[in-house]
This record gives sequence, C-alpha cells and structure tokens, in this order.
Amino acid sequence: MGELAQSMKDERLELARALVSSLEAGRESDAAETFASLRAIHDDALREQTGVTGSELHDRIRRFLEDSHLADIAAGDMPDAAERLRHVIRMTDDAASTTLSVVEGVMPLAGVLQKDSGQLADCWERFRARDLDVHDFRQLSMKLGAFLRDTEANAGELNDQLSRVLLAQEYQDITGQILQQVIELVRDVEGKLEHLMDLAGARPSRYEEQSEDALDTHAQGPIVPGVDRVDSVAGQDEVDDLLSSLGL
Amino acid sequence: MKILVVDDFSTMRRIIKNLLRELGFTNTQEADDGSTALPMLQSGKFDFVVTDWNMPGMQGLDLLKAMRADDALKHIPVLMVTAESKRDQIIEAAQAGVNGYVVKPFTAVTLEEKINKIFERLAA
Repeated sequence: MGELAQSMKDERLELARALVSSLEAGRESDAAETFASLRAIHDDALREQTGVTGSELHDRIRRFLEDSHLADIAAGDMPDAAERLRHVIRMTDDAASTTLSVVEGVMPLAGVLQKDSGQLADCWERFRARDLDVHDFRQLSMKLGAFLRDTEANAGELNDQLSRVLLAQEYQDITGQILQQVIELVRDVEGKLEHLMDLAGARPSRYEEQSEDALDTHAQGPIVPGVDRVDSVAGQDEVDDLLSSLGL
Repeated sequence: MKILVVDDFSTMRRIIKNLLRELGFTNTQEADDGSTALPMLQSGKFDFVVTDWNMPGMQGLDLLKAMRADDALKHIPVLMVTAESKRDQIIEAAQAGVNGYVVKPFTAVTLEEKINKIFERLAA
C-alpha cells in the first residue's frame, strides 16, 4: 500500500471514529459535518479514478439513462423482441410440420410405384421369355394400362405436394428478417450498456446516439402479430382492396 | 417471356423461380438487390420483374422508381412480393408505378392470379 493510500485510510478511520462518537453523543451537526468530510474524501478518490465526482457521475448516468431510452427498451422493446422470437418459433414449427406432413403423405405413393412396377417388370420378363399364355397376357395388358393411368395421377399428386413443400420454405425469408430486427435491438442495447460502463470508467466512449429514423415508408420488415401495432393490412385481400381503391 | 426475380434471400428467389416455372415461365434470372438488378435490366431484354422491397443496398421501391425514371425500362411491369404490409407503403408503391403487390406469406394461387391480372391489363 502506498504512503498516500495509507494516509487516506488513516484519515477516513479517524473521521469514522469521530462520526460514531458524535452520533453517540447526539451532536447532530458535528456528525453531519464529519459525514460531509468523509464523503468529500470518497469523491476525491472517485475523481482520481474516473475524473468525475460521485454526484457528477450520478448526474451523467441519470442523464444517459434518460437520453438512451433504456427504460423504454426494457419495458417495451425487450418484451416485443421476445414475442418476435416466439413468432419465429411458430413459423419454423409450421413450416416443419407442413413439410413433414407432405413427406409422410407422398412416401406411400413412392411405395405403390415401386411395388406395382416390380410386379409388372416380372410379368414383362415372362412375356419376353414367351412364358405367358393368352390369359396371362390379357392380365398383363390390363395391369399395364391401369399402372400407367395410376402413375399419371400419382405423379400429378406428387407435383402438387412438392409445390407445398416449396412454398413452405418461405418462412426462411420472413424469419430471417424478423431475426435481423432482434439482432439490431441487441446491438443497440449492447452499445448502450458499453457506454454505461464507459461512463463509470475512464474508457473513452464509442457510443453514438442513433438517430431516431423517421419510419414512415421505409422498409420495416414483416409485421409480427401482437407486437407491431401499425396501420398495416391483414392479408392479401386487404392489399387488393386498397389497390383497387387506388385504381390498380 | 424473360423474368428477373429480385430478392436478397436466396430461398425466396428459388421459391418464386420454381412457382414461375410451374406457371410455364422458364426463362428467369436472379438478382439479390436493386443495384444488381438495375444493370441487368439495362443490358438484358427483360419482360417482367418480380421484386422484394426490403433489401440491403438498393431497396425494391428505389429500383421501381429508377425503372420508372428510365425511358428504356419504364414500360416493364413490376410485381412487388414483400413482407412490407403498412398501408402507407402499399400506397407509396402504387404511386411509384407498381403493377401488382403481393404480401408475404403468399400462396402459389395468389402469385398466379396477380401475374395473370397484370398481363390481362397490359393486353387490354
């Protein structure tokens, strides 16, 4: 411990003892004076560390908290962000369910195709080996006709179902945009917390107040139900109504 | 019919390209934002543009405005397919000269309907 620090400690101890004895003796004004001296020493120590006094620091932090809207973020933006993330979970869940249902639905079609074509191939080989009588050949001909019609229908069904899987991947774009919004909020809060730490320490601040961009008609990403309360359309029908009212 | 699909998410470009193929439009190209799309439009003979709104770099609305201000491109119909669903935004897109507006999430049927409507109007 340095000489200066030791003498500061001695001084504080002395003042603390004086404070206790003043309080015990009921000398309120002496006690208040001693307390003020103690506080001044504390402020000096703080000023040595941070370049500001305790009350200045308190003021700066209070002002920063007001300017940075951290309270608003904690009360509004953070719960909103949680709801946005829940919406992402719901969308990914829906997309996964749709995809799985389609796969489960079309796999039997592939099974039928495999079984029927296998049976026909066996028959066809017997035909090529001249191993079929007229009755068997008639059977083969009928089976082949039915198989071709079924395959045509099943391929159409397969195509429709695969289109559903295709469209279900749309979630990736929308959830990506929503996650981007949350990442921006996290970045913003990170910057503000760093600045708060800078205020208490000697580190120069890298924080810059972000301009509150006028949001009017700039791109804002997807509307999340229950979070975004702006004048938005609820679906394609409302878009169509709005456009037709504009003559489009 | 040569179509340019503009979206920053490759998943969405693939979805739209596949849906367009289902509708019989096989000649499609892709761009990931307006600033990539604009030179492609200027150098290639495109007949139709499907664009997102919210993209890094040049946004869809700015692409639309740039096209409408360019004599060589102003006639090309533009369908906006976007998650942007504020009324003010839709009105602004209409005023900027958009030919159709589809909000995400959308269905294959909606996309087909809007494309058909645009071509019906152009033919009339």
